[in-house]
Amino acid sequence: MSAENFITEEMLYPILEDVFSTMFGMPMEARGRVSEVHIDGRACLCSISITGTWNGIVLVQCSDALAKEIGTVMFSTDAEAISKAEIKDAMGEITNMVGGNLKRILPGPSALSLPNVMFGSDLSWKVPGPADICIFCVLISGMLLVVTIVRRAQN
Amino acid sequence: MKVLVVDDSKVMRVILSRILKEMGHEVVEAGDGQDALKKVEESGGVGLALVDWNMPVMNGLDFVKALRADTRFWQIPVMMVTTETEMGQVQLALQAGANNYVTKPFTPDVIQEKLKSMGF
Repeated sequence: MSAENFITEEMLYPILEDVFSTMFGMPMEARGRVSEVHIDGRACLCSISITGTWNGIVLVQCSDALAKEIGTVMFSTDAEAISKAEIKDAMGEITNMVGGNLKRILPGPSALSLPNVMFGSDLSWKVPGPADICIFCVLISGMLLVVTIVRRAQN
Repeated sequence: MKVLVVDDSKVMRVILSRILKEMGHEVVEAGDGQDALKKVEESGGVGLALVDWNMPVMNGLDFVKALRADTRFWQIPVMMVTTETEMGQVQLALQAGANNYVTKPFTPDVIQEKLKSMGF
């Protein structure tokens, strides 16, 4: 498998479909792979590391509005009732499920870290050293969600 | 029956608790393995434990090992509910004493069917 397609749409989208559509009944629309994407305004950036035979990071990014929508659906509550801590918890669990299921299809054995979740404006990330990067977009309930998989060069 | 749900994610505890309560069970929640051991002790034992793997403080695998090493609670059935989906991890959990295994994401039907297969 080349550096350019170490993760394909066929590998990732069934995982996202299982997480969002099957488990939570949130419609998912695949929007394909992109080379770059930016989420304007306040956003949520989640990360989880995979270390072992395969080394890298899985990032999940979306707007504050979508993070709130996901949290509301997962907690089965109202938008007015959900707290920031609950949204953070929900997004962490989404990242955990996406990362865990990607780990299953990547070369193993490897270990999964606990997820990190942050909120803010103009959030960006940087990987020290050389890495291969795949970025995929989907629409969840009509809003953009970006999944980035970073493979560290020592793989 | 009293069921212990062990997961560091509140939303997962809420989701699993909802499924278990719909099945008529009483739920005790814990946020990590160490907290779970305390809750088992305080409850005087539970009828079943649903346990995540990756948690801070004490992970699910270490919790299962600690439970199986305790002569008072070693018979409590355990079902792992986790994103650890590799076959090697499943085998590791079963060898440590877990009775069943469900991978996230799941639907309520999957949890209910697994529990029925365990006699609950």
